[in-house]
Amino acid sequence: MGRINIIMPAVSLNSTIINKIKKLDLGLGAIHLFSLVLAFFLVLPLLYLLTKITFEFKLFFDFILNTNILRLSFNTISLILLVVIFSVLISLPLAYLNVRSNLPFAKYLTSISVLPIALPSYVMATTQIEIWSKNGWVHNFLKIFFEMKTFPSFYGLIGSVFVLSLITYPYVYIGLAAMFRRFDYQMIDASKTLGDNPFQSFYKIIFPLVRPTIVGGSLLVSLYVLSDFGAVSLLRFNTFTIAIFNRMYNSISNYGVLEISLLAIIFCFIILFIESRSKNEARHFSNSKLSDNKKADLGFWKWILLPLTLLPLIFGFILPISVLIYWIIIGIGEDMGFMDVIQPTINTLMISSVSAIFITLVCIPLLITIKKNVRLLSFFVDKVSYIGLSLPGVIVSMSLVFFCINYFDYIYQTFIVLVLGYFISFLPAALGPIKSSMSQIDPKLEDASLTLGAGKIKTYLNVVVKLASPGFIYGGVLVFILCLKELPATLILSPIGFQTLATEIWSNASEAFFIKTALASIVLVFIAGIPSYIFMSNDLSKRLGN
Amino acid sequence: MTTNDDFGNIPKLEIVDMHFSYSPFDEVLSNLSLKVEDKEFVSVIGDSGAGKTTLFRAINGLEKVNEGYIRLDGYLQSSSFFHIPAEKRSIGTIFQDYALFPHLNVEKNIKYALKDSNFDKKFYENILDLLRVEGLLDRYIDELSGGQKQRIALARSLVRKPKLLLMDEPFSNLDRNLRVKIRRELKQIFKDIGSTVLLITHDSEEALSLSDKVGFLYAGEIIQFSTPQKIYESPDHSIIAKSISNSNVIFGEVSNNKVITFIGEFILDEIIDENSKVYINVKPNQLSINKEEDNFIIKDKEFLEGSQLYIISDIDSGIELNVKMPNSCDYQIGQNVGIEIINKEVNKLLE
Repeated sequence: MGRINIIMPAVSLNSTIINKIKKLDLGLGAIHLFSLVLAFFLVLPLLYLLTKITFEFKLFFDFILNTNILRLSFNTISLILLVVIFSVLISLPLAYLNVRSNLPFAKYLTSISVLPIALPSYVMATTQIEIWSKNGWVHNFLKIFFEMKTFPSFYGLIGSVFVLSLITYPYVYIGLAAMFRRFDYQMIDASKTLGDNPFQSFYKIIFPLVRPTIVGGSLLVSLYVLSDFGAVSLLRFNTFTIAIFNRMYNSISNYGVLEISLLAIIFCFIILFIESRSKNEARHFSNSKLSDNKKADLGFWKWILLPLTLLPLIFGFILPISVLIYWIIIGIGEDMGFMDVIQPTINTLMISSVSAIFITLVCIPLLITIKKNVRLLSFFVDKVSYIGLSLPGVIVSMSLVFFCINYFDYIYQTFIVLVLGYFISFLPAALGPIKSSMSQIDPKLEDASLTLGAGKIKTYLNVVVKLASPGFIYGGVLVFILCLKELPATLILSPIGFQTLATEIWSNASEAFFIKTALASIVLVFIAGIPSYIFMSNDLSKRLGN
Repeated sequence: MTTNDDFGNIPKLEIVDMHFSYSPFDEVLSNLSLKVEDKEFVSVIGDSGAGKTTLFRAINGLEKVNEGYIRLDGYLQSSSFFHIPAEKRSIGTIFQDYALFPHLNVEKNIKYALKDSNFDKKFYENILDLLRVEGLLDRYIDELSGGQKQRIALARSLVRKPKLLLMDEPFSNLDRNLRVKIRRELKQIFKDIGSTVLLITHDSEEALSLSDKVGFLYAGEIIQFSTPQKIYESPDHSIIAKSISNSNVIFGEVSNNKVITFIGEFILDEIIDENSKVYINVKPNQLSINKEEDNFIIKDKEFLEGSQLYIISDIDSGIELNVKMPNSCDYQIGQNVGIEIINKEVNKLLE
């Protein structure tokens, strides 16, 4: 008996291990391993950056108290605040009039009001410089008709606020338009019948309900401004992104690059923290029901307000496009070497399609790992997938440069590292639509496939991936468009001599060869800008229930 | 100051000759009069476009009236030259979608209009208890079911001790079973608190089952105002007859105090001039189908509770009639049948 007692546990232990090994799905294990590698690539460069800074912690504090850095922070904060204020001031009346009033042509205006989104920030900047700078269109007009010789400079804060407000107001506008469409005006009536005067109705009901939408839009705008490199670099306004770039490429030492990056990352986290707080505050507000209240009758005022509502569109789209067309006409006469645009166009299309396909495909293993709920691994992969969403392209690229130089020297300045840069930045853009189309698949279909004898991976590929293919296509196209327009990562990570449309425009514009940028800009607006606009206006019409 | 003692029985709500229009030549409410006595439950029924929402908004002060006046407890609320705004009226309002504030939890919603000066703790707790909402106080509106939302909306209005409770289609968002259950509960609660209620609805079944009196709103006017039984049994107007009880509105000519129609003779409940032409109200249960004849054809049939409603059509004229038969009958659609009058007493209808 005693002998059996001793042997029995040993036998059962062995059989348990064998069973466990048998149960181990090798295919699935390989996928998880691959996902883990991808996740490390997403997070390692940034971790490397952070650890490097932590070692020089004391230096960091000395550095950020430096007056130059304080000035840089002040510049960045004031730019963010001013752009947020202006984009809210533009979009609040615009959204209300387009959605909630009887403004003529409101149906068409609602959607075309987001057209400025079609212009990359560096194209918007070059064209606005042509219009507003000294000896530009407006100054020339004033010189001829009013003999105005002096003219304020457009460069610096004013120009940056103007350009970035025009680009970013659609982000606030879309949220507000959807909110106004769904706002239940019965609540204002209810507050009146419960004893509120109009002022009380406003601050107790309307303001708290509108605030989360404005805050949400403003935070998107803040992240955009914090990450922007193209516009501020051309308008010569010193922000974090410009300082990082200049210190890496235009100074002998890289002094301060890490510290400024950390400061920018802290800013990002502050913005994200506020965003999560505001989302939390607004979690009970989501109103999926469209409101069918009557639209406000503007009476005669509608004919005065109509031209005013067209102003953002005129300044943000029509005038810049006119400038580009004007440059092309001049350029043809002066033989500005427009053929030079062919190679960058081919390069742009090639690198963007390769990146889009790669990023979309790696979503499959990543999502399998996230979905299969492998304890910490799934959580880790899920969280790090979104790391690029909040970080400026300059910082992602810079961390990759440092990381590659120190550990993977042989891939530095190859296409691999450029695709990796796009991967970190744009993975969230692909994951969003794919996840949402997957969430609509009836889980019973997966069960049916499993009970019919198909394995887990086969089921995933044949059922889930196939049914979610519209999401994959949507995500892929979105990443493709984002890659087409991307500037800072392309500038920093491209192999030497590799020019895309974005870098071609930026390098010509920074040397003030504006006319040379025209054709590349038009090509970019057509292949990337207009599709971005279509994406955005489709999203808007869905949210408006059209 | 007017009080009930000075003038005897002053109605809780009194609307006299009210006119309302959003734009000239487009009158939404015309010559509308209505009286709701203290502790009475009154409903106003109307189809869409009849002016229900406008009436609701005029009573609670969200719209100003053009002519006529509205009084609450004898005090003037609205007239062509006077308007007490919504926030100053003591009218508790239940909106169709409840209009609960999503950014506030249930407790804050209910206490929304309570100040230290008008907070009666005992009454407040009593209302929470009656409406069974104590367990929901910490929740947000998106965490409530339809029935719970309705109870919260009701509690929010009742804790202010309004003189009148005004409800706009408050049951339309609930499924049928819940609707019937909640209706019964509310009737009891209103009785317990002694509330005066005015319900505005398109649902005649709801209005008839809950109310002490019912007004029928048609084209901006109350065309009949009486007890549910009277409005159901002997409607004054052909529109009401058709809308409320599936009644047949039949044209006939008076001869020897009888009305001669294409299906036979009926006896009027009043004396009318010889040879005058009238519309009469023939309820579906006053008719019966007979198998022996074949001058009608069965077009359709619907199952009602405990009986069946046959829609039959006269083969010659194409006129359709509703006939109520017991469930045991089983006639087929397309079958040729005849018709029989089993109860000849009818009332005259205004066109």
